[in-house]
Amino acid sequence: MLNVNNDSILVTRGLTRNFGALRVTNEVDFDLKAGARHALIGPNGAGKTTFVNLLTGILRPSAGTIWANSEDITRASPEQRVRQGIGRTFQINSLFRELTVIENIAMPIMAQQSLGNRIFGARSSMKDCFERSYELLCDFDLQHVADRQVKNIAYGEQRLVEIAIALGLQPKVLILDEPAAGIPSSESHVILDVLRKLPASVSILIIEHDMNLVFQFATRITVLVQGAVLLTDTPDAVANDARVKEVYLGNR
Amino acid sequence: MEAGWFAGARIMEKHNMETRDAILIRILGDRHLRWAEGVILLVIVLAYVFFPTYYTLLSQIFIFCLFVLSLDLLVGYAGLVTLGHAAFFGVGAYAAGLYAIHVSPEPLSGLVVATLVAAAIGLLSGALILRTTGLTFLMLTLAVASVIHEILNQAGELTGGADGLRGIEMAPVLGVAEFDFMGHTAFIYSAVVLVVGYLFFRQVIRSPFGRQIVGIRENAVRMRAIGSPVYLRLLGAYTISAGMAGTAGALLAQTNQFVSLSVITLERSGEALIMLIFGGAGKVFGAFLGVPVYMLLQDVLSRYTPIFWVFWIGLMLVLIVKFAKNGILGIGTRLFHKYRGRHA
Repeated sequence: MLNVNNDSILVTRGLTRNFGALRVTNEVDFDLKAGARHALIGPNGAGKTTFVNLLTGILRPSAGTIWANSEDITRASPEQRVRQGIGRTFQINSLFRELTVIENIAMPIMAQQSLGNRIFGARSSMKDCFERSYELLCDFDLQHVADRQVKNIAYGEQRLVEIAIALGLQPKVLILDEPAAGIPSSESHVILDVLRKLPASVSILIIEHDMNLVFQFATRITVLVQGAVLLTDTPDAVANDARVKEVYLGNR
Repeated sequence: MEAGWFAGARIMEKHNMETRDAILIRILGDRHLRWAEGVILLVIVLAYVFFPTYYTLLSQIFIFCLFVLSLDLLVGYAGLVTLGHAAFFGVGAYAAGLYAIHVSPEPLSGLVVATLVAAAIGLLSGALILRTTGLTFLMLTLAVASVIHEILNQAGELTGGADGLRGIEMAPVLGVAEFDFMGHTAFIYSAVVLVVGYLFFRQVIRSPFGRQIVGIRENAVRMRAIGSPVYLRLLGAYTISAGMAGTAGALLAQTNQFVSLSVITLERSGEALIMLIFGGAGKVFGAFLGVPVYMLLQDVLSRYTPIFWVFWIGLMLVLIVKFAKNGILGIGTRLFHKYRGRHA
């Protein structure tokens, strides 16, 4: 069907999206390798968020194909893609604000174990879910706020809950949409510490403005400019690329 | 995949395990509800012993508690505000009445049939209108209720139209307890059905299904993003709630042995909503507080100010919505925590 390397878990070829006459995503060929730490960067308006929305199924592409695990998911609904193992976080916190932290994290675990339609006889699996949820929030060092309402905890902690919810689905691919958004760069190391502890088996695509974080975390970087891929390479190569410097003009 | 979420997942210390278990018990447990359940049961028993002359009124309160409880599942838990919930109450009432007249006067089977009919109507109408949200949804609930009201009105030969459904005669409950003038049987019958309905409700809201419903109320976008079929879950909740409302309607038909079109009016839907807001929406016992308080207020106010009582109810509603978002139960909880905080 195409020359997909077997070690790529998420692949796009010729992915294009038009909004009227405006081409926001322009024939993007992209490979996310299994276990990758891949960053997607680019100036404002480069089409990063549109690309994420195409990958997660919120938007339909005008042309092109998306494969996950060599399966064509171009037409799959967002829910189906989640079941395929593609999880995401949101740039703006998208949490269950009135619920406690532990309940927030239990929500995806229940969904992942297909318990959501159970009314009777789910007592023990429910307890199991909440135990796992507690385990997960310990990994994020959130145990001290476990039974606080999410709306009442610090913003930085809410950012961690945002990631924990996505991780609760046990995704194969985790798309992090600006995990450090709203966090002062002096404190983004907290996010970085958490990201570094994520299991190696999860392939990660990170979109981020904080270049410090990107260059410390990613092993591969794709630069997107005006909807098209400028280049994909190692952090060092990207940092020294003349075209990238031009695009960012002194940003690094 | 069982190995934990993080590379080198930590081994939990004993101290940590104890904290965890304490939190799990608080989140999953039922202990904090036990005493409130006990109080309600006690009140029912005391009412039975001390107010035999009020059995009819008390049965009505039980019936409305069940109805408002079903509404709470939608408004409080699923976050679906509806102005047409009386439709299912009415469908249940008419189904039970017609079943008693044409099929069998046996009450329990009538209750089951009415519940199923109301649930089916809930499933059908919900399948149509749950595709919408917010104001559109609100208007469509109103529309569905109006359509059902008009159908029941027009089918006069079957339903008695504006004159109401007459000639309902019930057989004794379980073949022994005859429905009597004093409302003795009606009292016990409604109380038992209410308790069973409550236990079912409790089961629903504590189940994974119930928690996912709350998740949808809090953030439907995120629920979709974690792969939860939002529409199907809401349809499930709508159907269950319609069924429960139908049970309540059937109880009214069976204990009153008469059904009129007033069971299905907008006023009835609105009144139920006010009762729920009085008590506290999204709280387990909101219905049990709101219904008696509202009915008592209505009784007292209409006696002292027969013309202006609606005004006073309205004023109280405004004050509660403005200053006590979680109703009487919310005020109570806040006072309780304040008190406990001072003495801790």
